[in-house]
Amino acid sequence: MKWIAQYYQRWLQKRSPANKHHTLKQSNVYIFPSRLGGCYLLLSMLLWLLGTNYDNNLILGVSYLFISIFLLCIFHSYFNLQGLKVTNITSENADSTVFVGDMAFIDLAFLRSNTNYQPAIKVAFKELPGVYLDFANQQSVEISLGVEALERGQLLLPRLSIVSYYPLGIIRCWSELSIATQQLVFPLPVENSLPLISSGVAEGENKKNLESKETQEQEYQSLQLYRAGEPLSKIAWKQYARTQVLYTKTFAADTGENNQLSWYSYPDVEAELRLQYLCYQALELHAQQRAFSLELVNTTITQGNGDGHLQRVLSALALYKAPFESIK
Amino acid sequence: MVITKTHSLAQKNMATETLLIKHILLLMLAQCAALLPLLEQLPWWMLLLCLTLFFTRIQIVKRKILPINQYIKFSLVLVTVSLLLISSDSGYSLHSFVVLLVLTMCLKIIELTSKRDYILMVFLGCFISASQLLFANSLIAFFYVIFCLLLLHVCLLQLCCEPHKPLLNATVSIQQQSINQWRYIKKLLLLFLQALPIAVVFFLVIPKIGSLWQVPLHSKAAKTGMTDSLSAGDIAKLNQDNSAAMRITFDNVGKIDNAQLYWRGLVLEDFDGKTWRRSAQRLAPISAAKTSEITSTNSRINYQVMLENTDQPWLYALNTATTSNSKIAQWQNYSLTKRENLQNRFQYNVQSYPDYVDSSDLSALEYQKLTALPKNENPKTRQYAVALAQKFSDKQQIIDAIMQKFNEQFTYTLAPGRMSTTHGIDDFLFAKKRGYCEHFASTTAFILRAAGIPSRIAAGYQGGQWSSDNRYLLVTQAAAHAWVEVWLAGKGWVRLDPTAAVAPQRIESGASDYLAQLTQGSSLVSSLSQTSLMRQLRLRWDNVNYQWHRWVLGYDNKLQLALVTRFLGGIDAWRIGLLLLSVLSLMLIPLFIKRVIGLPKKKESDVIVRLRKLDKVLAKIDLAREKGETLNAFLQRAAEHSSINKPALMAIAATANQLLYDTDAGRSACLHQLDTLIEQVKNSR
Repeated sequence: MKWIAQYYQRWLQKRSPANKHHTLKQSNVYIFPSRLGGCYLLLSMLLWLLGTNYDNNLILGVSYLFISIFLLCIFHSYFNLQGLKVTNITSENADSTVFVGDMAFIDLAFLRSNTNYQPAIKVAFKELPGVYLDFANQQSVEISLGVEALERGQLLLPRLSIVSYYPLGIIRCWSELSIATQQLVFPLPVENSLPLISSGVAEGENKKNLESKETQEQEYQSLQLYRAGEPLSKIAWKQYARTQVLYTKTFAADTGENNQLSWYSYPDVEAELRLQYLCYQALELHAQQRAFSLELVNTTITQGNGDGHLQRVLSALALYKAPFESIK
Repeated sequence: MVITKTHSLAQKNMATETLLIKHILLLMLAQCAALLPLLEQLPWWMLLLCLTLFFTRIQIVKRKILPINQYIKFSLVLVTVSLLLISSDSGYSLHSFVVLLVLTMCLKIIELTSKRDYILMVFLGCFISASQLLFANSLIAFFYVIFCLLLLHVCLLQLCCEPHKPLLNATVSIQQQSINQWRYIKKLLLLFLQALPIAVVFFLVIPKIGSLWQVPLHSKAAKTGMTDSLSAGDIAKLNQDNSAAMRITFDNVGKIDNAQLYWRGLVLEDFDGKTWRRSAQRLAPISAAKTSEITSTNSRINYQVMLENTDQPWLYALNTATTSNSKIAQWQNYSLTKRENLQNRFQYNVQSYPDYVDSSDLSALEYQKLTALPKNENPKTRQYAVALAQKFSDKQQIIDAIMQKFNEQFTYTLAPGRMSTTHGIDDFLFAKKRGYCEHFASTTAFILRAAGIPSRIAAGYQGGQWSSDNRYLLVTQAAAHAWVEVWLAGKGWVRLDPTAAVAPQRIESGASDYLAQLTQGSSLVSSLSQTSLMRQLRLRWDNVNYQWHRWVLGYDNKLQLALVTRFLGGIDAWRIGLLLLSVLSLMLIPLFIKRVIGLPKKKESDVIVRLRKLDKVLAKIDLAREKGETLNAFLQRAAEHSSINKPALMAIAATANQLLYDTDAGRSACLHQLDTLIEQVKNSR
């Protein structure tokens, strides 16, 4: 049984490859009688027996009517799905950060074919609860389906199944589409006790913490116009008193300090856990608005800060693939 | 284009598939419709039970009362099943099976909770509805069943289309609901209209196998019509009944005089003083010699009789009848019977030789049997008969004397009052002098026997109503009749109808007309049904029914073979397959046209028209809306595109949204505003 399922999956993969946009048509819609359909045929057989046994032409006629309805339902159910367009419209900007274990939301737009009122279409990612499309009186509908992100890396979407039992529930008409997505799943951040920055700079950091507040104040190198959202602690209040303009102090540490996150700073730690530690560190540093760099086995990301930088770092962590011989 | 956004988390609860009250209501409506024609077949309390349970179910759904607990359910099943056993005739028949099915359906109502139960109920309903065709198979009954099936399929469609509560607006207006229901009904009408021709082709080409096993339809006969005995009042009851008894089509013969149409069924030879019965002895089959003697007679009438179900074996024909049908037994007294009791309408071909004369002699035993009378009853009539026998030596004179007496002193009436129970014939002959055919026939036969002349009673129908085109004859139950057959040496059995002596019009114009005159003013309904216009309509309707019976109900393998070879030129599998395919594709044409070519598009709303205009304007500067992009997002993007009037675009977005989502408020003003804004965008380019 298992190999049949595997074979079916491979066949399906070849037949309808992953894509952001699908249109339901003959090549990706499948039709088979449902269990109810089997009962329906059984019912018409019973009626046929009744009609035959009592030589009752009318009951025979009713039985043939049932069989004709069954046949016609095959076509009606197909035409209900045919022409339905599915598009993955999930926006891929930075504000949707998904970590392992989170729900990733996939936004799908369904555009119905022009003439058809298409009721009773159930959409679901395989083995997940689904939604009925309700076009009401409109041409298209957008839904957002949640998928639990189980693994780090490119989000693995189960096939999207679009099922319709229309019109009578006796014919199951379905399609299994592979929806392409660029959504990344980042490693789950795990808090760790190691110093925030790598060992090379740790001494300087400690020293700095010991220095008096006044010297710290003097150490800032330049002033920049205050932007909303920056921590109040960085505002140059003296300059504000003087000029009535809000400035932010830029410390030498922000530009000059070298916060290097490195794969190698966690010896004797499992690879996945290292990534989770690094992820936590990156998020922490970002929250403190401190610049940092990342060093992985075969990638390095140079010093930087800001949302774009964080995105790059997290992506690198998400997509990290260990080389064949793991390096401790 | 309008886009609605809904989130899956919010929908999770709603997607659970539960039965809603409207589903149950619709199902109940359909079930009631399906049960309605079966009421006659069901015990009286079944309807009561069904309605009570429906009502209870609704109250439970509405949460007015608590669900019924297991013990009550169990005892309900026990009580109803035992009630059924008591009230039914407890026979093994299809009828009791159907009753049991109906009971199952009724009891299932309280169990109706899941989708599966619901579908089971619908299927049960379909079966029950179709099984009603076992008991009634008129044109109307058939289309009523189709109507019930349509309703039941609407239940399925509704369940399929609305398995969940509506998504966006949890309280959908009643108006919207009825629109939906109309849509379902329209959809199913289309489906049925497409399915019917295909079913007709199936019906026409699929060969029919005979019955596989026998289960009696009724375990107890409860049909109107002739029974195998004749006592006072039997026929008078039938005379009120205008339902069809049989229909006859003659081959190549013009209209036959009504007075010649004696449809002979039973021959009654034993009399116990009150009731005439069939001979207690085993009937002897007709000898081959006699059959050939009959068939060598000159005049012959060929015809086909379609007899309604009687649950009895008697077949009716004109005297003297022969047939080559192997299902029919022919007896020495010239009667025909089917070898098994009728289960259904039965159609048979008969040849009749009205001029046949039996020239053989009666044996002494037969003579004795045919003149036997119970002792001590009706002494006055006996005296009268003996006096007649002494007075006249010729048997024909005796008969004439009796007929003359009837003609001069007696009246024909359907309501003669009760005769005395001990000496009924004396009472009739000398006191009441009023009666109908069976009194006259019975009395005549009694007198003749008392006078030593062998005689017997024949029962059947007399006359009939010709269809407007004279092609077939309708015989109703009202035409039931009884007459006498008398044995005259050299002439054989001679038909003698004393009723003709009393009320000649009864025989000449047929029972319906004559009875109409008799009962005029007696009751409104019966007189209405007898007026000529109504009769015309009834005959016209019966003609339709007759064709229905002949071509649809009587469609058998013989007819099938003839029809298929005539239209397809052969009965090969490929021809039939081709026919099926072509009809199927013919039925699918509308669907294809709708999907491939596309029907004329619905008129777009005025807002959409304006937005399309905007799309065109923006398309000129290479701005096109992407798939799935909302209007707001698109206009935002367009506004960032430098060369356009930004405030106007943002205003368009606001106005369009207002128009699309807030339905009523200041529509025309908003539309106008939209127009001017789009104009601005166009010009600002």
